Amino acid sequence: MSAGPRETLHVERSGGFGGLTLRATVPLSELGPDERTAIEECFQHPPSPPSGPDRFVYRFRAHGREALVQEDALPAELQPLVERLSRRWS
Amino acid sequence: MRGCICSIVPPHLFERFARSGTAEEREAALGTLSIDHSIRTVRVQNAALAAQPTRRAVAAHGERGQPNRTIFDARHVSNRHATAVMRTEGQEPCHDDAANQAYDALGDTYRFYWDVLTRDSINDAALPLLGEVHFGRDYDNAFWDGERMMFGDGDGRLFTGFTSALEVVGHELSHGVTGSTINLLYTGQSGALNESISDVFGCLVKQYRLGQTADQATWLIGEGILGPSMHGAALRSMKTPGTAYDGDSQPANMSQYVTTAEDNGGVHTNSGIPNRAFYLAATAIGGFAWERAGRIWYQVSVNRMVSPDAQFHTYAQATLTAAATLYGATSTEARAVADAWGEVGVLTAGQVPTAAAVAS
Repeated sequence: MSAGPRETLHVERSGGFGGLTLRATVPLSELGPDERTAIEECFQHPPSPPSGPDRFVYRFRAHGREALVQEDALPAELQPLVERLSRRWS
Repeated sequence: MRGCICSIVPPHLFERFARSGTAEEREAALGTLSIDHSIRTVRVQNAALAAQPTRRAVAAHGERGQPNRTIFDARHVSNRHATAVMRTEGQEPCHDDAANQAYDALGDTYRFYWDVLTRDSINDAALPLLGEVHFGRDYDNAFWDGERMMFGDGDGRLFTGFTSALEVVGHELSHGVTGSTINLLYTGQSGALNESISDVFGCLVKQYRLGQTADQATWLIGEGILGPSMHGAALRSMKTPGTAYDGDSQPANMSQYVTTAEDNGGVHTNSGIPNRAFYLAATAIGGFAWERAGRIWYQVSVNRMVSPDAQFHTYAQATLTAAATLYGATSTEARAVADAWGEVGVLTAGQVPTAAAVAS
């Protein structure tokens, strides 16, 4: 996945016990190569079935493509990313 | 004992179990009888329900009716089960507030299911109750993973933790009960029913603990766990869905059902509709909500009266059947349930079975 200076990854987190839908954006240039590769792989895979009750559901969007990823199917490479976002959700 | 009572047992034995058996025999007799819609059966059940003594007396140390809890310290790890034990069954409180709150809330939830519904833990077979606290980093969630209850600490901004609200723990454990009974698919309407059932029994666990009647209860889910960025009293209101916090978008009526790709089809949003139906039924019946409204809802689960892909209207009709079976087709309870589903727009007058049809 290329990373132009103004290109952005849109991340949405829904579900959880609270059922809150929260959003955050990250410049693609801030992502490490492993994270970019993992996101690219998410775009290429169909969504997995729900993880289980009250788990989060992530949606990633960039370059006009999007991926719906259940929490327990989140690639390990993206775990640090969603932890970084934990105080940036709005 | 439950397995011993089957359809070839003569009716008079059911009646004997239902009237004078042990708590488990009585519950098993009721469960078996509830799939039979005859007037006679309803009479027997009413007699049994009226005669129920408290089930605390049944339990003795080390026997059924005793929880088996273990609380682990996840130490902010989220990708494997924790092994560091903080508190096991019968131990004195430890130094960690979250661990002690989780321990107490798991015990209160176990006590509700045993005392009120004679259910011995999540699987009705004494499943040990395992909980992990301090799950993940700034983790804004609590969930049942099929084996353990996981509690994040919250990020301090949206949530301040999850162990302090008893209805949260009751909600999560009830997902386990649903998983081991009707196993509703976690998407769309069946997913919203799955959520609603957890809210219903989460609220009932709290009301039972506090000794509150339907009129006295707040019917709020997630009281006291919101952080400073959330403005409101709780996460959900069963009484008035859509009013719990600024931004709460739960509908209270089928006419406002939300179609969305978020949250597995809005399972925490559309649960407002069946949540309000339960609140309406419970308050119309009056008294302690767990005694009759809760028992009606539980019958649908424990007797597997709906399939995993149940929709709101099929679930609603199952609660009507359960109410008619337990209390009679023309009872106050059956009427209250029918009216509740009508008021939230799930059943129309033509979809509510007549008393004669239910009784036949």
